[in-house]
Amino acid sequence: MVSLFDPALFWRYRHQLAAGAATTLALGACAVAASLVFGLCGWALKTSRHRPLAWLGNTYVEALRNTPDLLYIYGLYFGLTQVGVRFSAFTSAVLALGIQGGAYVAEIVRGAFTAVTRDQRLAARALGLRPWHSLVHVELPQMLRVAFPALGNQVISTLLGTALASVIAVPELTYQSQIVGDATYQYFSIFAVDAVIYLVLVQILTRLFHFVEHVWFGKWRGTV
Amino acid sequence: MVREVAGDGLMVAVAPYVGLLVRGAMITLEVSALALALSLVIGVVVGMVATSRFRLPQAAARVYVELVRSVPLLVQLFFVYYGLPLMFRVNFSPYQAATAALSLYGGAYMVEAVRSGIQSVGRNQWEAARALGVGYWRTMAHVVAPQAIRVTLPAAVGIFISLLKGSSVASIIGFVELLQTAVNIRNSIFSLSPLLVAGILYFLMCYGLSRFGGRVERRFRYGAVEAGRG
Repeated sequence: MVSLFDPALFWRYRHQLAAGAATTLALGACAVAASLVFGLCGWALKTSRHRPLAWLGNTYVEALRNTPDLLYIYGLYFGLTQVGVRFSAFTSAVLALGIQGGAYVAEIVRGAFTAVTRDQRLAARALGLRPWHSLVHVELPQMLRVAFPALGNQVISTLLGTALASVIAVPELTYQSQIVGDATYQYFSIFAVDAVIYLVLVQILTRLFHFVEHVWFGKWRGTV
Repeated sequence: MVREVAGDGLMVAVAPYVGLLVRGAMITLEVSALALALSLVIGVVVGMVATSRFRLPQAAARVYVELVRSVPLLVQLFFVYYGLPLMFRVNFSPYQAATAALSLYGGAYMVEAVRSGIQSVGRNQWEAARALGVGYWRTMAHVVAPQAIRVTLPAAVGIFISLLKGSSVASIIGFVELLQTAVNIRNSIFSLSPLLVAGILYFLMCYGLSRFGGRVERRFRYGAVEAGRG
C-alpha cells in the first residue's frame, strides 16, 4: 500500500512542475499584456464622444464582466475553427483571458481617470500646458496612482485564471499536476503542491506590487 | 452577424435545445445559491472570529482567506474532487464537490465582506454599548449588524455573481450545469450557437443581479457616512 500523502512527489516531478510554472507565468504575462491592449481599446471606446462607439465600449465591458471566462476559452478554441480560424491552445487562452481581463482593465482605467478631476485638467491648460503634456505630466501620474493597486489585483486574478487553460491542454501548472496525478494517483499531494506553488507566486507578486507602489507613490504629494 | 459567428446559419439548430440550456441555467443558479448560503454561514462565523480579539483563531481566519484567494478555483475544485476522496475515503459526486469548493471559495470572500462590514462600525459604538451594559451578542445583533449590513450586503451580491460565473468551472469535473450543457450540445450539433446562448443566459443572470446589487446598495445607504475605522 503506497502512502496517500507523499510530498516527495514534488521533488520527483520537479522538472515537470517547473516547466508548468514557467508556462503559467508566460501565459499570465501574455494574457496581462493582451488585457492591457483590450482594456485600453475598451476604455477609448467607452469614453468616446460618438454614441455608437461609446455604446460598443459599454457593451463590451458589461458583456464580458457578466460571463464566465471558461466560455471564451471554449468558444475561441473550438468555435473559431468553424469559421476557418484556427488558433493554438496557447493563443486561444491568451486571447480569451485577455479579452475578459480587458473589460476589467477598461473599468479600472475609466474609474481612475474620473478620480482625476476636471479642475486638474483645466488648471494644467490654464498654466499653458498642451493637452499632451497635461496628460503625461498631470493626469497620468495621478491616474496611475489610483489605478495601480486595482491593476495589481487584476494581474493576480489573470494569473489565477490561467489555470483554466488546462482544459484545452495548455501545458501549464494545473495541467502538469493533473498529468502527475493521473500517473501516480497522488491527487491529494500533487494538488496540494500545486496550490502551494500558486500561493507562492501570488504572494511574491503581491509583495512586488506593494514594493513598487511604495517606491513610486510613497512620498506622494498629489491631490488624488 | 450572429449567424456568421454561429457558422452555416446553425442558429436555427440550437432552437430545440434552448429548453435544455435554460434547465442548465437553473442548475447553475441552484448550485450557486446553495454555495452562497453556505458561504454566508462561513462568512458570518469566520468573519466574527476575524474581528474578535483572539489571536490564534484570527490568524487561522487570515490564512484561510489568503489561501483561497491565492489559489485558482479550479485547483481547489480538483483538490476537493480528486484529492480528498483518496485521502479520506469519502466519495463526492460532482454536485457535492462543486458545492463544497464553491462554498469554501465564496466563504473566503464573504469573510472579508463581513469583516469590513463589522469594522465599518466605529469603535466608539462598541464602547458606548459596553458603557450601557450591553453584552457582546446583543451589541452585535442590535447595534453592529444593522450597520454592517450596509457594507456586507452589496458585497454579497457581488460574491453571488462571481459564484455564478465560477460554477462554470465545475463543468471540468463533469458537473452538467449551464456551460457543460452548452458544450454537450455543441458536440452534437457542431455549432458555436449553444455557447452563444449560454453566454446570453449567463449575462442575463449576472447583469440582472448586478443591477439588483446597485439597488440594494442605494436602499441600504441609510445613516449617511458613519465614522468608520479609517
